[in-house]
Amino acid sequence: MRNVSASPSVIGRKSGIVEAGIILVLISFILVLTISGITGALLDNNWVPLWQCLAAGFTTGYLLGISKSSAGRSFLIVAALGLLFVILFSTRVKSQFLDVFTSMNSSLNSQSPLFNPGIDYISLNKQGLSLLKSITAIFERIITWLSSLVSGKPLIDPVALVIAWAMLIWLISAWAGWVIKTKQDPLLAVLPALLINLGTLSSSTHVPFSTYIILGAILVLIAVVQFNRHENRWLHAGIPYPERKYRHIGAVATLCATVLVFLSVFISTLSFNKVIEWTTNQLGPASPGENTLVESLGIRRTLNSLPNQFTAYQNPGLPNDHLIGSGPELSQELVMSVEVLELPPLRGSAQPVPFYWRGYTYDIYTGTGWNSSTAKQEYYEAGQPFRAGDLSAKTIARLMVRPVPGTDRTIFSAGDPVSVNIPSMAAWRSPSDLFGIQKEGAGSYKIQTLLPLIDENGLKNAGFNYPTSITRRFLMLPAGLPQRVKELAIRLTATEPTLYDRVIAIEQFLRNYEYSLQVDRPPPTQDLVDYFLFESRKGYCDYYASAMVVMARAAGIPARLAVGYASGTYNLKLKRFVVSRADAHAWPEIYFPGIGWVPFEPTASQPTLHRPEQVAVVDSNLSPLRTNQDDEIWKPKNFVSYAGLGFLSMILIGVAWVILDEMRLKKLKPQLAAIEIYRRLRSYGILLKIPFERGETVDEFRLLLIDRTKIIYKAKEASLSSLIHDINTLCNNIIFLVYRPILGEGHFENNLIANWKALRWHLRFIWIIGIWNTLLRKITRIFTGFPLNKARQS
Amino acid sequence: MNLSTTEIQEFAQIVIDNVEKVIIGKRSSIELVIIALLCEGHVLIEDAPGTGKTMLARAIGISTGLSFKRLQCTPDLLPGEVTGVSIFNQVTREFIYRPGPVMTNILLVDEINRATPRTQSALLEAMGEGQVTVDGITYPLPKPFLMLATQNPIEFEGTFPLPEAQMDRFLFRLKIGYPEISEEDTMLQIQQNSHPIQTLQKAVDSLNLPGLQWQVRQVHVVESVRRYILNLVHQTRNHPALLLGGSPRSSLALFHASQALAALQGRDFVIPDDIKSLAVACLAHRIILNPENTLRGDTPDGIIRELLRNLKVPMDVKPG
Repeated sequence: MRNVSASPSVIGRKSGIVEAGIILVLISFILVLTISGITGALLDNNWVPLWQCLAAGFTTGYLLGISKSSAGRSFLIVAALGLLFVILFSTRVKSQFLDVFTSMNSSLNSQSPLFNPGIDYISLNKQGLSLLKSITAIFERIITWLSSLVSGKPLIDPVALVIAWAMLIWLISAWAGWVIKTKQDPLLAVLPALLINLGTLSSSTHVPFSTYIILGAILVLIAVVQFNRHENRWLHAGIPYPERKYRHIGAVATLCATVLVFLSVFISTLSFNKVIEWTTNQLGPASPGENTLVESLGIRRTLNSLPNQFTAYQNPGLPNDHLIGSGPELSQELVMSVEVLELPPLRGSAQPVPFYWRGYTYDIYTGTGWNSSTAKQEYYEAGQPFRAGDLSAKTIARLMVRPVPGTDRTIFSAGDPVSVNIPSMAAWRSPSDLFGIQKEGAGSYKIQTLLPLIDENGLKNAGFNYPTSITRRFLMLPAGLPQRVKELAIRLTATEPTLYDRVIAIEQFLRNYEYSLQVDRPPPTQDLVDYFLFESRKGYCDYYASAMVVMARAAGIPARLAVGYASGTYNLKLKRFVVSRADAHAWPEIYFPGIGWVPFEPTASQPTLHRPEQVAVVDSNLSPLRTNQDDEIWKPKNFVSYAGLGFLSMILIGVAWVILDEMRLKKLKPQLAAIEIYRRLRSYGILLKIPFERGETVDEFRLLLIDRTKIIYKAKEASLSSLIHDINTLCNNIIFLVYRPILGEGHFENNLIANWKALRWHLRFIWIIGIWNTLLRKITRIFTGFPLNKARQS
Repeated sequence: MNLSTTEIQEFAQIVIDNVEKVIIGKRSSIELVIIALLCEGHVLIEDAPGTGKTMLARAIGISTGLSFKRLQCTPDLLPGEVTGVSIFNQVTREFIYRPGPVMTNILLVDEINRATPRTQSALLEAMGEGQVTVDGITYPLPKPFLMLATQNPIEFEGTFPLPEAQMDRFLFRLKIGYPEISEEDTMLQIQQNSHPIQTLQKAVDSLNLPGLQWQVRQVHVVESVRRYILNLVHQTRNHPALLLGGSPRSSLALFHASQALAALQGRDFVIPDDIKSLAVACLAHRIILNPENTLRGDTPDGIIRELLRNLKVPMDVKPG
């Protein structure tokens, strides 16, 4: 029997440690499983930042709990740290931040007076600006994404998604850590994690096995907590109870939990879906808008999965499967010639883009090659239009194609074909999504086609207002796509503000890869794009194009693969393009809202596509300028860019002022410089709330400053020694220069300015810390109603 | 011109360390006495009995190797007993001067306010002119001559308060004050068997005091610091709470004393901090409060401190 009356505090503490250990283990177990449950429900699972967020967030929360800071203050700290952490870890801002930090550090450490500060400031400034730009871009993305969620037209943005989920998990973990330390209520600690896990489970039909283990762990946790509560009550009431009961209860609780979990595993396979069905029926049939909302939150919906590669073989008439690695044929054998019969004169450029003669487009990436979804074949009479043409942002062109006899039946065209003057068979994946056209007759054909008017301005202003049909089909990635491909795509595009910038970032990245026709086929188990990006690092157009489409999709940009021929050589005598087998090509096409499919050229051997800034058809009868369809979503772009500009100019002015000021100080007489520097040092003293007395001497101020620094830093003298050394040196130099009438000791002056520069940063830092401390104290006072110190005492 | 103050610093360090064997925890008081020695000034020690006034004087005398005499003042002490007397020698039929206790390097005048004004004025001459006159013949005092006078501020019965003229001749007035508990405990332990003054040794081998005094006078005082001294003394003259402000002699005293303090700290230039730390010791005994301010509880020390707080420390450099 435990002797209650002897020393309950000791007993309580002993058993408390064991219980706290068990509870801590259980909670971390539950948290880890919950997060894995949440990530399992996500479309792109295995995000590295999520785990880091879990660990760091929990630690932060726990430490804040130890520091006994109030709820409001803790929340502010957690939110700020979380945002910083998440942004740093999920994007390439981290490396930029490190760049700025290291260069700042090196400039701070360089004490040599001969060092030219101008160069350093410029490079620092540049890095700072790019960092600032990136962070602005990320915030803009998050804001756009959030506003799109609010406006009901959700966007699919992997970067914002990662940041949002990581932030959520950070907050959950921090909450758990904080509650465990301060409230000692383990169930309350894991509550938000469980709620969110439940939320994700209910919107996805994917129930991982870990859910049951979580269930078991929670049951055990409840048992431990309940027993703890009872034990405390017994101790207080003085009820004696058997010491071994603890173990008994633990064993019984574990057993019960296991049994319950097993039962639930068998039952839930039936009931879980039924419960969801029932609730959805109760809430009314799900509208498509809701589905897209769920999708844009990144939750996997297994029900909506599209037809797989097997069904694609249903149409044997057309070459659906485009396997990469079949070997390009590079003979100079002619394939066809294309004559541009009619093309309205365009303002801005002679032709919209270099022509790409497109044969087929592919939407499904299998990991080893490309495939098309099921396409419906339709027969068209000669001259029968394929689709009613939408002329906005497009222009009509007429081409005369003369294939070399003996080549296949594919009809090649630039842009979206409207009609062909011979009977043909077209394969449609969906009413507006053409797979390819084959002719039914032989010989040459005239084709009418819609060329999209592509210019940089239009592309940059395209927005993100995708039709659902596009996002459904052209964002699919195989489940086995390695994580590093997705991460690379997100790193590349995270800080680019517009769709066009993101695409260009991927394009430029790929153009640095080596073009080679001698490439071994990747091992059959390895993903083709992964192999190209990280291992072989060389390849031909198929590799480049596949990599670009996959990376674009990973970055949330709808893309497809197009196969056909590049422009070929333009024969001036014949006035037509002569296309040979060597021009066989594959290229990525990116969907731009309001414009359509736009080709890009990541292949290093091909010339880059130069797009004019603005293109318009001179003939006003045909088509007006592109209409803007995507003004519905509020974009904070202007405000952000103005704020950024203001901030930028402020930084520039600041840098210029610093440089000029230093020059002025160097020109002053040493004593005057010392007096001026002391005046500034003293004003920092006032900022640091060191009371000013008329009769104060430099030496007295030095001591006050050191004391104040120690108070603000709350650190021991040893850790401040370099700072204190700086303060002492500077003050002694000032005293020396001001009160000693001997001139001609130039090194004092130089030391003085170098010293001051070093110290100034420190002082500003101390100042900010001081302000931060005061702010926290005030906030604490608001939240708790009385000062922190009193709270601690009580 | 560069000036080395290391000699002074070393001298002061050795003497102070030596004296601290006897006087525990009163480093600033010892420093002030050394400064007085370096400036050829005199010190009035005003404190309760038993705080180590005599011991301080004796220890400094022994440490520096200077001759030391002690004079206990009582109302019946005659001037001749201070200065010495001429005695008629029966054999040689002429008067012989028998030097009094004043003929020494360090003279401790205990309870100076108990001596009659007549005796006090004899001391006045010794302090001011460094000589004594007996029966019309002037005898110079040995060099250096440092007078440490003590007075008990508690008892007023049967005393003759020092006249203002005499107060002004003291470079410093210092208050030793009671030691800290821990220091007093150390003192008890040290003195359990014997008093350390019995075994105290001379600390400096050959004292070149004139040389040191010359070096002190070479310490730089820039214009702004001089102006600070003058402003300070000038403010005492116009202060509404003061009946009498500092004399020009007090400016000079502060000037020299701050030079000595700077040298003691190893600096060859005076900074305002030197003046601030010496001002109370140097000025407080030279000023007289208005009776109403005295009644209000103001003290000369407090007035000087207030002045120091509010007087702007000059930092500017005069053009040219």
